[in-house]
Order: sequence, then C-alpha cells, then structure tokens
Amino acid sequence: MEGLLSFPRLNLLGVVSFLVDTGADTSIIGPPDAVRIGVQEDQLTGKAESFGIGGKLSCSVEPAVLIFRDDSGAAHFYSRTVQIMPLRRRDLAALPSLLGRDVLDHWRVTYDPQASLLEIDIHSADQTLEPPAIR
Amino acid sequence: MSASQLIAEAMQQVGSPESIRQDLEEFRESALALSADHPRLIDEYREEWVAVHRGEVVAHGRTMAAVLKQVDAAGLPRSKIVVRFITEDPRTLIL
Repeated sequence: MEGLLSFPRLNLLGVVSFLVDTGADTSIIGPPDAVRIGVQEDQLTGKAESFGIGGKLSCSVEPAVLIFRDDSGAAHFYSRTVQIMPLRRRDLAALPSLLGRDVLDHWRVTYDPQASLLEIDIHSADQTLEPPAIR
Repeated sequence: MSASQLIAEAMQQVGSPESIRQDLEEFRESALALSADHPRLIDEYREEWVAVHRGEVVAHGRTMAAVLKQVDAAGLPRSKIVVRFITEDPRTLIL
C-alpha cells in the first residue's frame, strides 16, 4: 500500500510502500524507508518501546503526516506520531514499514489473496483534499 | 505543533492532488517492475541493494549507503525511488 510520508519538523517527504498490519497498534517506519527519505537518528528525540513476537524494541517517535490517494483522486491526510525502527541495527536493516491500526481503523479493508486483492474504502481522515472539479 | 499545523505543513510539501498522484504512480511503477523482474534481479544483483526509478535499476551495491550515494550523485529524487535488498532466501516475517 503506497502512501506519502511527511515529517514536517524535519522537512522530509517520501513515498513509502507499507505492509498493511492489522496486528500493529501504530504505524512504524522501517530502516530502508527512513534512511532513504533522509531521516538521521540523531535528529530524533522522542523514544518509545514496542513489543512484538521478537521481544522488546526501542524505537524513536516522530510526528508525521501520512497521505493516501483514492480512486477519485482525493488525497486523505492522517496526522500521527509514528515509530521509527533503530536505523543502525543490521538485523533490522531490510524490514518494511508497517501501516498499523492508527490509520487502518479509519478504513474498511478487504483482503482476498485468491484474487490478489487488497481493497481499501476510506471512511474518514483528518483532512481530505479533493481533486479540482471538472467543468 | 498541532495536528492541523502538521497537516498544513505537509500540504505545502506535497502540492496538489495531481502531484500526489504522479509521485505515487511513479513509485508504484518502480515497485511493480521490481516484483516482476525479481528472478532476473536475483541473477544480476544477488545479496545486493538495488535502487529502482521509473522501472529501471539506477544503482546497486553491497550496502544501502553505497546505493544512496550513487542515487544522490545521479541527482535522482530519493523520495520517489524504491530501494530493496535482493536475496534468494525467503524471509519469514512474523510482525
């Protein structure tokens, strides 16, 4: 699921391919995406701990805006504090970014792997930018 | 900074709905090319990082830092490229 990820405080913006994860309480950005769009660990001041099947992980946190587009061309904005995985750990280096329930709770998600289908209906967003009307 | 201030700043960054569409479609094109071409990429770039832009491999190397250095040197937009580690070993993710 592709979306734009903005870190306004850091003036960074990039497209991210998220793994949809209904088991994640919050969205979390993987090292490849964070590094690619220019996040530097020493710029991050907030900290949080996450717990998963692999145990406890100390992450950074940063206010972000996640932006997704629907078929009508409207852009939907979500202001969230996302977690960022540690950037220098080799064992985490290739992990994907996860889209968690902090965003998914505002969508209806249909997953049909037999039809190679992941369908999203957006129920609500913090703000929506409609495409220009066609005259 | 409040949520509405954050969104206002993000709107300034992303521009119009049309530019959002272009950014997402360009990225999706690269991601699809990467998936479709995976067998060839394994042959050519096994255990390497690759960067794909507009469906083409534009950089590769043993480390992500090396790949991003090539991307920056070529003046390509990091925000729109796909960077992946190419490996034959399937990883089991339990997140």
